[in-house]
Amino acid sequence: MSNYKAVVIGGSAGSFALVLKMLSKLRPDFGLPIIICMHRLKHIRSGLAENLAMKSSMKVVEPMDKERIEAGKIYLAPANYHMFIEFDGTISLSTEEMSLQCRPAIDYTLSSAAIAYREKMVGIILTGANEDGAKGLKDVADKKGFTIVQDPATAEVPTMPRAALKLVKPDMVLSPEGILDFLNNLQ
Amino acid sequence: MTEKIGVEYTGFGISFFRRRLALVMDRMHMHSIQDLYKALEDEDKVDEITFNMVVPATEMFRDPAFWRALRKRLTGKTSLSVWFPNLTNGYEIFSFVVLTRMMGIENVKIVGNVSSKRTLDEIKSLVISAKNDEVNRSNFERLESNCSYEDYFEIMEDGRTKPKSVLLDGVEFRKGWFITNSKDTYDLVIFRNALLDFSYSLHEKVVTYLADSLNPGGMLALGIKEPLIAAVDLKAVEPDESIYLK
Repeated sequence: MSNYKAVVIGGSAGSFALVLKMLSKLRPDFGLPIIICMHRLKHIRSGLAENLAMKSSMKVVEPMDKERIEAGKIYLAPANYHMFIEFDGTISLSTEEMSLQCRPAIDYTLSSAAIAYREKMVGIILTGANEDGAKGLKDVADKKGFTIVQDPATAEVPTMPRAALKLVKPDMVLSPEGILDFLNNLQ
Repeated sequence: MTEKIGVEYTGFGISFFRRRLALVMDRMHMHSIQDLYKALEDEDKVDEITFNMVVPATEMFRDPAFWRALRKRLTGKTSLSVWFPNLTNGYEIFSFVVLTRMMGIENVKIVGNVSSKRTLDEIKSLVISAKNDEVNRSNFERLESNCSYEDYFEIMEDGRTKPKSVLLDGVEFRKGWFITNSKDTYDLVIFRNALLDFSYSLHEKVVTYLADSLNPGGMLALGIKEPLIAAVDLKAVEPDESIYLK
């Protein structure tokens, strides 16, 4: 059994194709919730979750506020809402001010998950074009969660993983294939 | 804070409340809880705290599909009473007023509650930065109407934009928490994305109160990601846009 309760992934530019590829190759019996916060166009509400769902054997949802997090489901931060993880195992959404010009902000999802799950989570930062997520990943590391940063050399846009590496000494720096292997061997 | 300000902060989500209070204290350069207690004794600072505790609406015509759905639901109406229980800035009310003007609904009575004097001042003197105006304009264009943005907004010399002053004619503003002993009822209540800040219990209480504030056949509009978790006699008529009918 895995010691973890959730995997939280943050990404921006270039990350959608990567996540799509990873989900398509994830074990069908992957038993943890995967919480994904990706920067996205705020006025386009549909399409992203549907595309992910087509490639994944896990159920993909854009959660409603106060929705309970369940094992084996993928939760995608809705457009134009911040997504927070709560102590009671639910998701809360918010229209609070943007952070680093982003809503949803990866920092918020990771930091709140770090408080809720502490050492029982995996935090992953993928390719992206700004520094959002770095502080959140540091919070995960500070709570002894397991941290992974995509190798900037393999990133379509390396700004986000580089920013994370400036703040955090992650447990692993991996290629996309390496991240996938890690996830598939989690359980 | 609940006692001094009159807003039911005790029913707010704990993590939201902590986050928001930290932001307020940071903005107001308060470094300790003692600073907060002291500020709560000062009327101007109480107003400032109340203003900052509120999450401002993000943009005008946020979720254009919602406004299109609302337009569809209001088609054929000639008069309307509308309540905004929790105005956080001018974006929601101006969006609605523009919508009704576009539709030619002439007899519209609007009541809006604000929790602080500063919020009211900002609504009445709303000026939109060029950057925000760009977002508002693109949302407006997604309403797919034949009207022009310039029919309702004017560009100032410095490039910023402001709504035409006539848009707020006849709007009644009330200051204070919206749950009162009032028996007023309305044809439409717009309360989008404020339930996000509340705990389950306050969420339930507020939705029940808002449902009771509707006339028969009236509509309640919530944010598109806010579930209706209270046991109320409302039917989702636009489920994707969270519009409910009594």
